[in-house]
Amino acid sequence: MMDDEPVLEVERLSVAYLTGRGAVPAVDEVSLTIAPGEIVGLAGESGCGKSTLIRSILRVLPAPGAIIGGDVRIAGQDVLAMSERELQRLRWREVSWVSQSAMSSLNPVMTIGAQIEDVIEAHEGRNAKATTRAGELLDLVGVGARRLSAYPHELSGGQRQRVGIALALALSPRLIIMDEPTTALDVVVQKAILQRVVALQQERGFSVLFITHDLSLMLQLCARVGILYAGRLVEMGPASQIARAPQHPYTRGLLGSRLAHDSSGGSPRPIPGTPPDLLHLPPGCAFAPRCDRAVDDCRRSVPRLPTTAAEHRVACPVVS
Amino acid sequence: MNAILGNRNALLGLVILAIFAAMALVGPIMVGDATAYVGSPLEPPSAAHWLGTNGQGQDVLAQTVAGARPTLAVGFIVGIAVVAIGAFIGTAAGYFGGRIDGALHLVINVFLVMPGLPLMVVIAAYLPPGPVTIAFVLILTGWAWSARVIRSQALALRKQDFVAASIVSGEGHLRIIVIEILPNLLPLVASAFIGATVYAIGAQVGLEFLGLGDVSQITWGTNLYWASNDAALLTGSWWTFVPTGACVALVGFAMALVNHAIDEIGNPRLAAQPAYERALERAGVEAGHATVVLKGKR
Repeated sequence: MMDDEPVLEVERLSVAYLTGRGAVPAVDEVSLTIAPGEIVGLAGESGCGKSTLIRSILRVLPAPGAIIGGDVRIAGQDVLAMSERELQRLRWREVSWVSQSAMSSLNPVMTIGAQIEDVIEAHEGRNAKATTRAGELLDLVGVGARRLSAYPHELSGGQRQRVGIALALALSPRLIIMDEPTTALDVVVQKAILQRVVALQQERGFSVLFITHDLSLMLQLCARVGILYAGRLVEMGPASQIARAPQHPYTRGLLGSRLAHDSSGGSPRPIPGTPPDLLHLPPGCAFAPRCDRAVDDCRRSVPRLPTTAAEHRVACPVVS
Repeated sequence: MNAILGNRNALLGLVILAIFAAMALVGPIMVGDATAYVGSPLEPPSAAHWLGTNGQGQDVLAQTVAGARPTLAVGFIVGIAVVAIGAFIGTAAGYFGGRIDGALHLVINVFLVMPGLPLMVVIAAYLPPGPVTIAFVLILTGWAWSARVIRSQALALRKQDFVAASIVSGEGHLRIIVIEILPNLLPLVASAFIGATVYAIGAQVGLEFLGLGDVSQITWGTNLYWASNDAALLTGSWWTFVPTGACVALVGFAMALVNHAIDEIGNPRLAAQPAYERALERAGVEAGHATVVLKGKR
């Protein structure tokens, strides 16, 4: 494989929930590329399609969710054309997933060592070195190999989340998808864990797709950042540029609604209105009804991210 | 309520149940005296007797309609009693835990391991025959199952934070059980009630068919008992037992529909399932463990 081939290519991916009241478009023509060794973040408020998107990439989205268009390639392999067996081989070897709640993704009646060994042996067969490697992985994430025989309930929340990361690293995948991995933790533990992730990432060179609703956290951690609204990507660009000069009115709203860390920023300004009902999306830009800069053009057609090679792209007819 | 009426399954089930309820309430007035001897024995269906006559020369339609009231009454009374006892003992055991749970759980288990059918037959044969005996026997052998199910749910709810919060805020035991815990058990209680009622109707008809009821009374069970006694099967007189059998089956079917609808309303994912499956069928894609891909197939 060539070194500069993207580890993840998502092209105009559309996902819908097929319900009795109609197809609910949860992800609408989202395109996204992640290069080797890159940390890319996706942010948006609850219900904007973040989790649906990553579950679709892994093809673990449960019924009634269905992928209705687009392409997903992981390490050059067409994920949407794969059989369940092929998916099984792909998952964890090429791409792994750290879920939101490590508490509920660890089996309470198995030691964490046994669970890490399970992952290794599921892909590589019975393996005499599995225990040693599980210990090394726990050392790597800062839990320590001596906790191999600990049960999940004997660990703190932060330690369990670290175990989740150790599990994700077990087979040295090229891409790790992190779905709000630190939302349940306090800021001190959160910082320690994310620093460890960044250190590991630099050492081992895997790519990370990082999902969160914590914009400040994401802007610090990620090189590139995408903003999702109502299942559509509204802005994508380098984190530094988005932090300094956000273009899309929604991104500005998100940044403006944060609490400033010092006294300079003034009080946070909330975005008026509520996210749209996905079953009855407004025509054109989904954000137009809440946008103070909307013009007639916004309500005519859905603005998409331009397909240019520009680094910082925005799906808004007013600002671009 | 709107959710129930908007659900096709529930609506069909409720309509069938309403028809049977009307049959039980006003039916006997419409069909006249079901005990009257109106024709010769085992007459096939005709204009005079739509469902023919039974072995005694009584009208089968009148007998079927007259049988609805006592049968359904016993069924629903047993259903309510089983669930009430089950909810009471189950929540008490689950909520208080410790010794109280130990004792109640032991009693529940004893009743669960006793073989139900032979016990029913023995007790029903020992006590004076009649609907009260049947109801008593069915409640005695049926309550433990619902108590067991409700206990395990109450046990899980007991450990939830909102229960801990209400204990801390000083609420009394009874209030916590009735206001905090029971409403959370309602879907379970509703489906336990439906299950118990269907079971009660079936078991009651079974016991009476065996002659363990009051055979001088007209119920669906005794209708079948007399049909068998009067050699309906030997003579091929299907009209003497098919209507009653169909009634029992229809009531059970309607209850099952309502039960399924309660499940769907309580679990939105289940409600979306039919639309999802239709979409897959149209696209010719089979569901699996991986997310389905319907690219260009819609």
